[in-house]
Amino acid sequence: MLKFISKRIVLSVGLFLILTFVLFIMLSFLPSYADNEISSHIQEYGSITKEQELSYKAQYGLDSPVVTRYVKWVKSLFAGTWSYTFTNRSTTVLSVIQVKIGETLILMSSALIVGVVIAIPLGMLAAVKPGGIADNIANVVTFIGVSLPGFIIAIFLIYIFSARLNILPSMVLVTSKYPYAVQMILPVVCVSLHIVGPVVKQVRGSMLDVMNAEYIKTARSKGISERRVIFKHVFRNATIPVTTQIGLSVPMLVGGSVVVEQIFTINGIGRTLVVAINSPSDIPVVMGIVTIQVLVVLVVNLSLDIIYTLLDPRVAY
Amino acid sequence: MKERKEKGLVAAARKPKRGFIQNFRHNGKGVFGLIAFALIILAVFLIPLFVKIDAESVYFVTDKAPSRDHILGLDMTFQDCFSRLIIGGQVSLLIGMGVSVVTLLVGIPLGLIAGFYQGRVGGFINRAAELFMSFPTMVLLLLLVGIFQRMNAITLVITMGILGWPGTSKMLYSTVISTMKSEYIEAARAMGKSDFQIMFFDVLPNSITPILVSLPFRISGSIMMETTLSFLGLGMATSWGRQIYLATTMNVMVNQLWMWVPATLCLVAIIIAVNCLGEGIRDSYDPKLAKR
Repeated sequence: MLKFISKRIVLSVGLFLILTFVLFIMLSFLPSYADNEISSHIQEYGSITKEQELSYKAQYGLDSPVVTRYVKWVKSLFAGTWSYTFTNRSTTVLSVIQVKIGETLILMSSALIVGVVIAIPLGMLAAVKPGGIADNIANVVTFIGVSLPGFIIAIFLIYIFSARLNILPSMVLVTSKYPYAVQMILPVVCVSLHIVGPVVKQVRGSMLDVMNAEYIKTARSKGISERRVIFKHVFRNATIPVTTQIGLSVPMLVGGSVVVEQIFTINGIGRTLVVAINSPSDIPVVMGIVTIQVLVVLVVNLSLDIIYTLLDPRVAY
Repeated sequence: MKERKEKGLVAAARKPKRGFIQNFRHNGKGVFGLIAFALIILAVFLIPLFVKIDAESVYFVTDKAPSRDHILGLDMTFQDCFSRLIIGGQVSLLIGMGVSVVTLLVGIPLGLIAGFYQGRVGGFINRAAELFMSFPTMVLLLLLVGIFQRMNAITLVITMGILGWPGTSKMLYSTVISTMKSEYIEAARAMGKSDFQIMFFDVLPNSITPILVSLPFRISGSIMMETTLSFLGLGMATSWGRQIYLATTMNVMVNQLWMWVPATLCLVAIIIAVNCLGEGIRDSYDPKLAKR
C-alpha cells in the first residue's frame, strides 16, 4: 500500500515537471514587456543593437536560454518566491497568488462538494426507477451540465435570480449589501453543474450496469431489504467509475471557474490569469497561476488514486 | 480471385449495421435534431441571399430598439443586431465544423498508429493523450490565443482542432485494438500488404464508426468552445458569444433584450438540435445504448 502510494507520488512529480517544462517553453513565446520595450525602441530610433536588445531582456530575466530559465524557475519554486512579476520586479508571484487564490479555492471546492452531493443521490434515484420523475430531472440536469456552455447557464441564472426576481446578486463585491455566502450562490451553482452533469450520467449508467447482475439477484433472493441492496451492493460497485468521472471533471472545473470568475467579477486567480495573458503578458504570473491549476488537477487525481485503493480492495498495489 | 474475396469481406464489414436508416427514421429525437439542424444551416446561409446583411455599418439613430429598418434593433455600437446574428451564426457553425474536421485529421492518424503498433509507440501516444487531457482545455486555449495574438478564423480552427485530438485518438485506439484481432487483418498481412495499406484500407474503415457516431457531439462541443472564447473577448468579433456578452451589463440584460436574447436562443437551439441528432444517430446505430 505504502509502496503503491509512494510510486504514484513519484510519477505525479515527474508529470508535474514535464507539464511545467512544456508550459514554460510555450509561455516564452508570449509577447512580453521586454518585446514591447524593444519594439518601441525600434520605433523611436529606427534600429536596435544586439546589446540594447539584451539589456531590455535582462531587465525581465529573459536574456538566458529557456532551459536555464526553467531551472531557475524550479529553484524559485522551492525558494518560495515563484519568480517575480513583470509589472513590479520586486513583487513575488507567490504573494500575488496568495492574495487571489482564496476566492478561487472557495469557489472550486464548494462547487465540487455541492456537485457531488447533488449528483450522487440524483443519479441513484434515476437508476432505481428508470423513466421516473428523478430520471427525467437527471436527464435535464445532465443536458444542461454537459451540453450547454457555462456562460449561458450563468446568464440565464443572473437573468432569473438577479434581474427578474432580484433575490441574488449578479456580482461578487466587497461592498455588496448581501453576505458573502449569498453572493457566492450563483457562481457555485454555475461551476458545480460541470460536475453534476457528467457524474449523474456516470452514477446512473454504472448502477444500471450492475442492477441486473447475478449477485444482486442473489442478494435480493436472500431477502435483504431493497434499500440495503441498493446502498450496499449496487452503489458500492458503482463507486469506482464514479470516482474516475469526478477526477476527469476536475479540469473542467478549473476551466469553468475561469469563465465564471470573469462573469461574476470574482477576484480569483482565473480573472488574474486572463488579465496577465493580455499583451504585454506578465509571463511569471501566468506561469504561476497555470502551475497552481496543474497542481490542483494532479493533487485531486493523486488523492483519487489513493481513494480507489480504499474503496476497492481488488485494486492492486 | 483471392483479392476479390478479401475485398468482399472488407466491404461486408464496412457496410453499416443493417437497418441504420430504418432505425433512424423511427427515432423521433434524431429526426427532430436533423430537421432543426438543417433549418438552422439553411437559415444562416440562405437569408443573406435574400435580405441585405450588413454587420459592419454603424447607423446613427436615436432609438436602438427594433424597428422596421432593423427588425432586431441595434446594439451598443449601433450595429444591426439581425445582421450580426446571421454572420455570427455562420462563424459559429463554420468554426464548429472546421474544428471537428481538424480534430479528426489529427486524432485519427495518431489513434490508428497507437492501436496498430501498440507497444512502445502506442504507449507513448496514449500517455501524451492523457497528459493533454489532464490539462484544462480552456486554460490552454487562453494561453494559445495569447501567444498567437490576434487569431483569425483559420488559426482559431487549427488551434482548437488540435486541442481536441486526445479524445478522438483514445476512442479510435480502443476500437482499433479489437479490430486488429480480426482474421481479415491477418489475411491482409499474409497477402503481403504494407502496414500503411492495412492501416488505412483495412483497419480504419472497420474501426471508424464510433468516431463518426460521436461527430455531432464534437461539433456542439466546438461551437461551445468557440462561443465561450468570444464571450471572453478572445475569439471572433462577430460571434454569438460576443452578442451574449452584452448581457453582462445589467441595463442591457433588463431593458434591451433584443441585443442578447436572439443570439442566446439561437445558440441554445443549435446545441439542442445537434445533440438530439447525435443521440438519434447513436441510438439507431446501436439500439442497445438507447436503453441506458
